[in-house]
Amino acid sequence: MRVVIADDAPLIREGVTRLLTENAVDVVAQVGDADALLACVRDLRPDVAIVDVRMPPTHTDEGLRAVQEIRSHYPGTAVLVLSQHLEPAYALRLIDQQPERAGYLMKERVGRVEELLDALERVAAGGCVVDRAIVEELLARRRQGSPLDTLTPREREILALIAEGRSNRGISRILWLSPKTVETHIRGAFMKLGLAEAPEDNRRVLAVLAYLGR
Amino acid sequence: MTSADPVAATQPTRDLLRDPVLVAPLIVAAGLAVGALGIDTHISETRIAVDMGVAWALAAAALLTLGRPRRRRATWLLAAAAFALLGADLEWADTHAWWTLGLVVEQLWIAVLAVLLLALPEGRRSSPVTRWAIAGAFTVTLAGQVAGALVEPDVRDLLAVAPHAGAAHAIDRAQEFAGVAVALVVLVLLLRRLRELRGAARRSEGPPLAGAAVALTVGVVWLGLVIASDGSRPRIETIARAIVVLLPIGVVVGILWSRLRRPEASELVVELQAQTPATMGERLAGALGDPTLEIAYRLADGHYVDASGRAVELPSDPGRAVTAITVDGKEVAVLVHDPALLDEPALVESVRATAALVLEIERLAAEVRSQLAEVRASRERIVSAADAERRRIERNLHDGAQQRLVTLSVALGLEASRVDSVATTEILCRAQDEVEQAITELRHLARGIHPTLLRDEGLQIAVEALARRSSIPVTVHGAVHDRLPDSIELAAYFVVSEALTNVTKHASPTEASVTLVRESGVLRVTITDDGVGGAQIATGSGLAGLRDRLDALDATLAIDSRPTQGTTVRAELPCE
Repeated sequence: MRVVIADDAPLIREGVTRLLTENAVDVVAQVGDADALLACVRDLRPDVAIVDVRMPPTHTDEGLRAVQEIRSHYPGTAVLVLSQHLEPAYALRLIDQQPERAGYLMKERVGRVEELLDALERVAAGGCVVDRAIVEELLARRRQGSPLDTLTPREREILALIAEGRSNRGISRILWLSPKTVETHIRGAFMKLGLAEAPEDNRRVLAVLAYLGR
Repeated sequence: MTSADPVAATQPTRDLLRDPVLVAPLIVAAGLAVGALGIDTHISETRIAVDMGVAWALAAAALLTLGRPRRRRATWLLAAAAFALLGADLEWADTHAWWTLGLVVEQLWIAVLAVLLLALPEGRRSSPVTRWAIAGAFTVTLAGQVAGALVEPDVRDLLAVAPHAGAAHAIDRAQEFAGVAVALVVLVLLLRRLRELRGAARRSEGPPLAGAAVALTVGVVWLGLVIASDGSRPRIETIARAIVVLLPIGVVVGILWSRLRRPEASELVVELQAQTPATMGERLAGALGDPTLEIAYRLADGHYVDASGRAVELPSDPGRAVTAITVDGKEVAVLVHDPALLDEPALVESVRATAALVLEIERLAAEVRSQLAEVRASRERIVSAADAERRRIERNLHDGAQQRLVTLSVALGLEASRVDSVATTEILCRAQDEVEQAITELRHLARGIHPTLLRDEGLQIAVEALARRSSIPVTVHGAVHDRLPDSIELAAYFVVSEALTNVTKHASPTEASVTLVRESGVLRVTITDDGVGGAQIATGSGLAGLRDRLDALDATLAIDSRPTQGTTVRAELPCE
């Protein structure tokens, strides 16, 4: 897998590069701002671009804007956005129109190489990744009489994994359940929430996130 | 105890030598001398009487304009016209030198009067047409006469170099035609000026200009008749000169009119006291007949403000005059007005006397308004400085501390993947957990200090996020998707945030709702819950802490909370 890293903090760039290199990921370039990132993607066509949201010059949303550029011009490159903001609205803005090959991770995940690798593999494979903290934030909302209260703990757990962008197979692997059991739980949960079963994993993520963000 | 000080650019000069008061007796003497000359040479008595009378009338008008700063040029020109008129009568003399001089200046008075008319009102810039008309008048009258004198067959003419009756006649005709042309131009200019006059200027300049227009019309008719009749000039000329008296009469009428016009003092003071600050200026403008009049109040620090307390600059161009109003020797206000009002000192004085006290009261009110505006501006500055500081802190937390913690976490992760000892890996992982916990806490802190989501996505999405994060179900109604000014978005956001915090802390409700509506320039934010009620905006509470922020925006905050009825917090923020 060929990856570029865009982050204005050299220490983080270096550290992540070494973490990934040691795990057999080919880091083809590391850059410190959006312009350099776009030039890199144009010339090197990496499989995934890891992009920090806050980059020079204004340190607001330069990274997000560069990512939008990449997604419309270089669809072959998946994007993994690293954000300081625990705000579902940002994550939804990233994947809302186009959930394929995109991920929104909290910045601190880069210290956990296995989580980072997992997310990289999933977006590179065409999937959609939403940080578990974002999903927790959405699920944490307690609403009396909400159908969410009727879910069993297992169904709730599985719903969270769906919202993170996991496939049925991924869920069964994480929870040590058989794919069949997972499917049963999903059907149960969707029925309780009144959600239609989506034909495809990424659409399913959007449907669940939209439900939770309502 | 009060006095009016004209602070106009032109001050009357009381220099005796330069004062035209001395020319009046000279004109009287010159009139008498010319009269004696006419009687001596058997000139018609009517003609003598007319010339002396018109010259003296001009002298009288010149005297009346004395001491009026805006009439210095008029004084001199009136006197010059009187001399020029009498100068033409030197032709009555038998002495060749006098006769020749009389011939040369015979029509000079016409040009002088043209200058006088076109120069009114003084102080305005003359247009190119005006300058050409004046040049034309001098060419026709003075240069024409000199040219005529060169070929004049009369033996008394000392300037005759090539006497030729035909040539002299031809020059006369040319002068008459050119004279009609120039006179028509001057007449058009005069009528246009008359139409443009407004207010005080109309009162003081109108009568002399109207008199002059009549005189000039008669003059044009006279010239036409001369051209048509080709002779019999003396008689018609006498009538034409008699008509000139209309001009000094007009000047006198204009001045007397200005002096007589003064509003009923008691009436004015009653009306003025009933005025609101905004209409005070209009009322004074009406009383003084100057629609351009403005009032500027003088603050203790020497600056000037208008009735609403906004700072104003006093004009420095000559097109505006400034009159100070003083109470007990202290300037309270100035009137900024048309310089033509300086011709009506009595009127200005009466208005000043009646208005001074009202103006002093208004000045105090304007001073208070100005200070209020100052306080508000300062509160705005404080709030926006605080906001800027919040943004800076939020940014520093994200780009400083958080960034370092992430770097630390990456380093720990890197180390953990390298060591072989299970115990060490365990320790490193726990350290990483701690670091991540610190990052999460910093994140919440930063969001409370300055909501990045609000800045990036606007009020609606930020309020929806607040509602979602609340520990009770909160429904958001209404929609404000347009971006509003930062200060308004922040204030509305903090109102919702503080109100929801209060609700969950004290009201023990089952649910709450937030309504955002923007209509007719006002953003209405309403937060309602079904809790225990009985809440108020207590000192030290989060909502009370928003008072400065809301006041700086002219926003209002109200709380309606009866026991067992739940609580409704309403904020209204003006936004254009």
